[in-house]
Parts: sequence; C-alpha cells; structure tokens
Amino acid sequence: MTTGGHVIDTTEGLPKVVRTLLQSRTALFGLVLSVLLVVAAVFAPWIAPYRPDEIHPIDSLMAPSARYWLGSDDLGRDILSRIIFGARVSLMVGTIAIGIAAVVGVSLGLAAGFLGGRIDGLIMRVMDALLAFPAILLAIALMAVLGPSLENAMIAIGIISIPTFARITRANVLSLREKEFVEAARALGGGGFYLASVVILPNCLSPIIVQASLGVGNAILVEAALSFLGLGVQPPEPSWGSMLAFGRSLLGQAPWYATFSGLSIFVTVLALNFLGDGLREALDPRLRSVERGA
Amino acid sequence: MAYYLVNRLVQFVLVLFFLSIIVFTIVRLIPGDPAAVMLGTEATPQVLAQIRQEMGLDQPIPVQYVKWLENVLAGNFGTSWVSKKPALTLILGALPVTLQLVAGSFLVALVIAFPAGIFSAIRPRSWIDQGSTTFALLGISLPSFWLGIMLILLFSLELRWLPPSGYLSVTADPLGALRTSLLPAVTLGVALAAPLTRFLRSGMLDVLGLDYVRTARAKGLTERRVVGRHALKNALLSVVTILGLQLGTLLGGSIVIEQVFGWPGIGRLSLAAIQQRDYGVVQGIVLFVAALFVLINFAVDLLYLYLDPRIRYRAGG
Repeated sequence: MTTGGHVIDTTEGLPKVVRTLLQSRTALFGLVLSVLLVVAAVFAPWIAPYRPDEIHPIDSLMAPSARYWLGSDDLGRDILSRIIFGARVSLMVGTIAIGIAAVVGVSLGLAAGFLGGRIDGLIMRVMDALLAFPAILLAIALMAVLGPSLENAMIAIGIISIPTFARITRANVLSLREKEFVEAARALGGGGFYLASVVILPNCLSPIIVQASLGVGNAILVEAALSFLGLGVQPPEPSWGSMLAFGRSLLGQAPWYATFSGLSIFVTVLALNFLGDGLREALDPRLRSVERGA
Repeated sequence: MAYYLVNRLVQFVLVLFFLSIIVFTIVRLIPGDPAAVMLGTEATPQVLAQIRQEMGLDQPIPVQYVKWLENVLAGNFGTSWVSKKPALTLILGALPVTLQLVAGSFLVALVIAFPAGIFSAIRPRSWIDQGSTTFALLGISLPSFWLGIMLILLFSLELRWLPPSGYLSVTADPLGALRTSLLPAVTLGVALAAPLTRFLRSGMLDVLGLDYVRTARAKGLTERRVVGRHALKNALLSVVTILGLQLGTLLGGSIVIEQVFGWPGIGRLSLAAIQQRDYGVVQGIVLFVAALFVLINFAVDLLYLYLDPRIRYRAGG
C-alpha cells in the first residue's frame, strides 16, 4: 500500500509539472517546436511541397525563391521537402536509439543497484569502459563493424547511450533501496523482481525521463555527425547530416544547401535541449530551489 | 591516501582491461574473414589458410585475445593491412595534427569561458549573465561541423580572410599554422566553451556564497582580490574535472572537424582506415584514443587529489 501511495504521489504532481514546464519561456518554446517537428515528420507527404526524390534537372542549384523556398540541390530536388522528410529520419533515429538505450540501461542500472556485490561491480566496470570511449569514436567503430545504414545507426547510438541511463538508474536505486516504503513492501513479502520493477522503478522515473529528452537531442547530433562522415544513413534517403556533407562540397555555388540543412539540426537539438532543461526543472524541486537561490 | 591511490589505480587497470575486451570484440565482430579482406579477390584456399595461420586466426578466440593483449602491451597495436606499416607508427604520425587542433580549441574555450563564466557569477541576472547562459545553451546544441562550414562560408569564401582548409604544423611555420588553425580551433573551441562557462559560473556562485569569501570581503579586500585570489582558486577545482572529461569529447569532435577542414589527423586516419576496411588500424586507433582518455582522467584524479586537501584528508582518514 505504501508503494501505491508513492506512485500516486507522482501522478498527482503531474498538473504541477506541466504548469511549471509551461511557465518557462524556453521550455515552452522547446515544447512547441518539438511538437511542430513531430507533426511535420508524421505528415511529411502532405506538408512537403514536393516528393523528396523528385528531380527537376533544369532547376539545378536554384537559390531560395517562391518556387523553392529553401532553394534546390544539384539534381533540382526541393531542399525544404528533403529537410521535412529528413526530420522523419532524425526523429526516428533519436527516439528509437534512446528507447534501446533506456530499456537496456535502466535494466542494467536496476540490476546493479538492487543486487549489488559482484554483479554491480561487473556491470558498472563495463559501463565505465564504454564511457571511456569518446562517444563519436565508439559510434564510428560500431558503424564500421555493423555497416552504414539507418537501423545500424540506431543500434550504434543506442549502445553508446546505455551507460548514462545505467548510471543514473543505479544512483537512484541505491538511494531508494533502504527507504521505508521499500522496507515495508519487502516486509509484506514482495520478491526481488517485484521490489525492483514495481516499487523502486516508478520512483526513479523523473531523472530517466529528463535524460531521455536530453538524450534524443544528443542522438540526433551523433546521427548527423555519422551521416556527415558517410557512415550513417545512406543516400538517396534524405538525412540532414548527409545533406550537410554534400552541401559542404557545393559551398561556393549553393551556400543555402549547407546552411539550411545544418540549421535544421541546430534548431531541432536546441528545441529538445530546451524541453529537457524545462523538464528537469519541473521534475526536480531541489534543482529549482538551487537555481533560484543562485 | 595510499588506500585511495591504490583503489583508483585498481579501477584504472580494470577499466583498461574491459576496454581492451570491448575493442577486441568489436573488431572480431566485423563480418567477413580479415585474411580474405587482406588478400582481396586473388586469394587461393592454400594462401588463405597460410595467412590465417600467420595472423593467428585459426586459434581459439581466448588464445587470440591473450596474444593480442601481449602484443598491445609490448607496444604493437597491429599492422595496417593496406600500407603494411605498424598501426602505432601511423597513429603517432597523425597525433601531432590532432593535438594541435585539440590544444588550439582548449585555448579558444578558455578565452571565451573564463571571462563569461566569472562575470556572470559576479553579476548574476545581469545582461552578461543572461547572454552567457544563452550562449552556453546555444553552444551545447550547435553541431560543430555545421559551425565550421558556416565559418568557412563567412571568413574564407565571402571575406577571404582565412584559408578554407589545409594544415600547417606549428613547429614548421608558426604564422601559417595560426592562419590555418584559427577556424578549426574556434569551431571546436566553442563546443567546449559552452559547458565550461556553465561549470565555471556555478562553481564561482557556490564559492562566492561561502563564509570565507564573506570574511575576505569583511576584511576590506578589494572585489578584484576577493574574486581573483580567493574565489577563483577554489572554483577552478570543478573546472579541472570537467576539462578532463571534456577532453574525450574534444578528441571525438576533432574526428569530424578534421574532415571539415581537411586536416590529416587521427580522425582522417580512422575514416580512411574504415573506408579501406583496414581494421588493424581502426582497432589501434580506438584502443589508443580510449586508453589516452582513461589515462588523462586518471591524471586529473591525481591532480584533483593534490589540489583539494579535503579529499586527501578524507582518503587518509
């Protein structure tokens, strides 16, 4: 029963969390922009003026105009349409990669924190070793092994994001493990799996949600970097990173190409970071008071 | 203190051990037979078997790992299957280029972050504070490779002040190196300056609220002396840690930035190796960079121990 009380506490606080979130101008900006991006990605075929692979040879490398709002590329394809369809790729890689990382990382963190001892030591040393790689280098090495493709980019970015989730979950489990409500659930005969997944896990969701929202932004950046290096999503699939790489080679003739494809990465990651920061403030009252005191 | 040191050393060795297993596993997971990749299409089964034996690929995986680890510990990081040169030679040849980029970026980051972080902590909520907070948030979200391309567009193609790409060694041609290093260093430096500014600001804010700073002010010391002598020294502790951790990001970032500016460093070397399926070199680079990163963080830990007597006492107690 005690555990139920804790879970309900979180849900009762939901309107307050939303209110705090909406009070911050930057968080609101992040939220609105993120929603717009998701809408654009989902309804891309209806919103985009052209199909992303529609070629108009006579309109090659056109500057931004009423016909092509953000200009056209070397094959006369509309850059705006490719950016809108590219949002699908970026958001999909971001959410699925972080989904993989969250499921695996939270499970490992839960096991490490709850079971302790040798299992904890083994899991956390492997996580430390994974964190010892510069993230992009590990992603590049994994892409070299897996081969460049959309699915492999999701897996590689998912793997490099696991340790952060494991660490955050473990730290929270360690502080919750000895709390009275967990003791009470244990006294009532709750088994290990029940205690970890039903009693403890719902109480460490806040930092995991915050990490997930910040993680999606970071995953989009890594995917863009991989595609920029030619190791991520392969043409003709529109990806902001590979569009930017191609725009780099046309910088003298068509500067708008690189400018707009990079700008879309920047604005998307910025919106997600604003949203993540807002969520952190809304979900963590301690942080709020520290920030105000500062 | 000795216990703390030994404990950190054991952890350091353990991380290196797991790291070596991860690198070894990654390269063994590569689809296709390395011997077949090395020989190309002209391989006969006999030659293939001979090469497999020479490379030790016919041995069980644990035996292969132990042999590989012995070689690594002896400084043999593998051989390039393309150029037949030792991977370590190639890495050490490209390392000065990457280090020049990393050092330049560090300098740029410090030049931006120190004044921005300190002034925004001294005058919280002022326009400087709001400006530097906005800069930090923008900087974290900015794809550095896009920033680099935009800087090339402005300073090389439009204004024609700086070269768009190319590398010159700082020892061979200092002035030329400054011209070619400026854009890459600013590109990567801005990415580091953003988190550094935030850390410096919060570190300073913590310290400025402490009793000893109030005492220093009460004694009638000038604000400049209070901030410069008393507060900054302690706020630097938090910065030392973040610098160590950020170095990994910087090394990773340099891979992409080298590609943007055509610098022949570790990043270019690893991309070329991946494209040529030269896995001996890929393996060497990944292991070398990761081990370097772990080593630097271990050194930062020791430096931290030296700088903060509280940790020394706690560790000794």
